Amino acid sequence: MTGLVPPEYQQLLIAGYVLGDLGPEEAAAFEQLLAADPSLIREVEQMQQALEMAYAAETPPPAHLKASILSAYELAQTAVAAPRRSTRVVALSGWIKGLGAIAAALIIGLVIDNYTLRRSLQAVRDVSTPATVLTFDLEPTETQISGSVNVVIDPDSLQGTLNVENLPPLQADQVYVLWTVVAPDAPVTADEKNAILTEVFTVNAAGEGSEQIAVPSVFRDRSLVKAVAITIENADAPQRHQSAPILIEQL
Amino acid sequence: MDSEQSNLARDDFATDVNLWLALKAGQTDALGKLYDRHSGLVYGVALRVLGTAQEAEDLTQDIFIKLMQSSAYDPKRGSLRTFLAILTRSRAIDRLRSRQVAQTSLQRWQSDYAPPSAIPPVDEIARDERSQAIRDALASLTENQQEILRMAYYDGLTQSTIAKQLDTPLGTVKARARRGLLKLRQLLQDSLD
Repeated sequence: MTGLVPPEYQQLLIAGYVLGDLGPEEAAAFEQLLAADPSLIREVEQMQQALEMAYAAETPPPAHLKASILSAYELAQTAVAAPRRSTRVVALSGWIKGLGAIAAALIIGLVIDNYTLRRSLQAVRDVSTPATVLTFDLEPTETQISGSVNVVIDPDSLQGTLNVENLPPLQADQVYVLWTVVAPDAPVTADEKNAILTEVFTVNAAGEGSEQIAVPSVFRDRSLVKAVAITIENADAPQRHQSAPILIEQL
Repeated sequence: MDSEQSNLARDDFATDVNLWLALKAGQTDALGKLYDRHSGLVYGVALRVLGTAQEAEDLTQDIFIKLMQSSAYDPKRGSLRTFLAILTRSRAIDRLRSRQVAQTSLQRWQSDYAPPSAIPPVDEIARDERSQAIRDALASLTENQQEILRMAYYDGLTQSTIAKQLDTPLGTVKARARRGLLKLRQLLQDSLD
């Protein structure tokens, strides 16, 4: 197969793959090339290396960062819960499946590494404090408002999850906004209502939604947070904060 | 030797693809392996753009935590490392802009409506960090090739956007980027593993 493809075209496909810009037809051609001649992967690696030598530079991150990320990830996964995990199926073409077979031994290695990983995670659990996770259950501000919103935040990683139930779907030009309301003298930038726009979101037809969010650093000092609230805003400019809260948890 | 190197490269390549797919399938332990393989690149890019270790750590964490949710990466069309490098640089520049907006807002509250200061130039690795061989190799590219590679890899612009900005046909942009990279690899051949 590779003998039918001019070497220069092969090289251009490899460069395109490393640059991340293969079109669909090129991706198919690249796939066939790799299937016919796996040694081309070596050239992919070298092309990648050349690009990074010229335009990127690696710097080892601090040692503690990996445990912090794995811990935050596990927390987020737990909060997001099982349904999302169980249904993800990625459509694979043959060559990727083939590469899966090639790497089977490494996957086995991964399983072995799980032991180390579990030990690392256990160590993280031992030294971290799950009790520091902040949970907010927002309640409607008026009796005629339905719905509930739960926000779980890890103040160390400043990551969290937002879980929504029974909120009415909005018109196309509207969005829900999650606000972090801070003390008037908090040393952060907030709007005129002392609020920080934390997340803009919508819900599905069933009024449900769930997503991971990044939260402001003010959550590292809980005394500075006065409330977490939801408003309905104009989709074009949610930051204007023109509406009153429909759900809130005051602290 | 060549055969051994080829096998190693194939395994590395396959590992990236498989780890990505394992992560997308919800296998949490794949994240640790991906972190081991690419955190140096992600952290390095973040540190160079943001300038502080704390912010670089925050962004590195953000990139890896959100990796599973990302639907933007297609392993058939490009390498994971390039995707991560471009994503990290793009997010880092977003954070710089947010920082600038916050500072400007604070200035407005406080006093004098001072005009915003420019985002500091963070685009490239400092010249003295590059070896002479790399500097020579880059200098050997045409200006067009250098510009397009910078726009694609540093600015994270799509080829279509680059084509519009440079008022150049898309096919020409793609060809220049790829030929520029090919030339770089040829010139740096002796330095590659």
